[in-house]
Amino acid sequence: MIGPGTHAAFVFAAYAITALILGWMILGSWLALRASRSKLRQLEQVFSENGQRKP
Amino acid sequence: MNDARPTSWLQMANPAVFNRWADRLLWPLAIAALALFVYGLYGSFFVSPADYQQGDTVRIMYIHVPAAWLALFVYAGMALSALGTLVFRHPMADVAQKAAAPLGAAFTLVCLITGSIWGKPTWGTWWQWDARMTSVLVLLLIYLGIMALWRAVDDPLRAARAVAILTLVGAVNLPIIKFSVDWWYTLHQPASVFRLDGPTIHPSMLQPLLVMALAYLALYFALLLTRMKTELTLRRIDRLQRVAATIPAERT
Repeated sequence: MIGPGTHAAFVFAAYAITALILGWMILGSWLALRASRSKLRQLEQVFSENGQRKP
Repeated sequence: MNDARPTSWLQMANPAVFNRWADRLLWPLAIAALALFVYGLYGSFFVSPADYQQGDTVRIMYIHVPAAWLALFVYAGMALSALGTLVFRHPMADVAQKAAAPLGAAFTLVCLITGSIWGKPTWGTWWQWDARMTSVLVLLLIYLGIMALWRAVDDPLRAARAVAILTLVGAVNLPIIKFSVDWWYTLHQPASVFRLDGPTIHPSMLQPLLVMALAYLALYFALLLTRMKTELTLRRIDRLQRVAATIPAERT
């Protein structure tokens, strides 16, 4: 027979793993957007410094 | 362009128009997701009673069931996007599909892991090769296959068509997952919310479950918009880099 403490441990494990996966998803998506925007800004600056027309 | 006019799906093909709408929706969706998670978690832990058989383990339902719904919902959206790519050739369809695949995979993973953790104290086993669990595992493998195919093909247009075909083939798995508990004898219980004769779950448990499902949904759409914006930016970078690479060759 499983006691209440064991029940709580299973619930905690499930919520902790869910928080980790969702947190990784949120952080990963946000950091990827920031990194891509920063790279685009750098590239556009190179274009404007060289006087090239952007496509 | 006049902002007061309704924006059609054709206008959404313009990345600038899409980005403008995405920027308007992103923060309201993120705030709604946060508020719904807080309210839903409060309901899951403090309003919902413990189950008379399962005890507190039933609280895993509030994260497991919405993840399962989202795993199916995201795939259904991807199948529609696949039609958008193959039939209507809408430029944003493959962007949406590429952005959604990792999110669907993550929800499926949450569903499988929390289901396994719930299964041990309830059924006495972490895993059983029954129709429901196996078909959800197949869904995860399809998501991973789609993500791998996007990386394997360099040309985005060819990749989009290949992924769209694979997505439509994989959509056969959706009804199998949904009706597996009716078609075969499974360890997993039959549906208790989406039934023709109405939900069999008590309202004290149904309400937090629906709030958590809305929280997952708002989070999904917020992340989908974020990832679509990222994909559009990466495509713009790729175009600029191709142009930059051709300029020295033209000058010499």
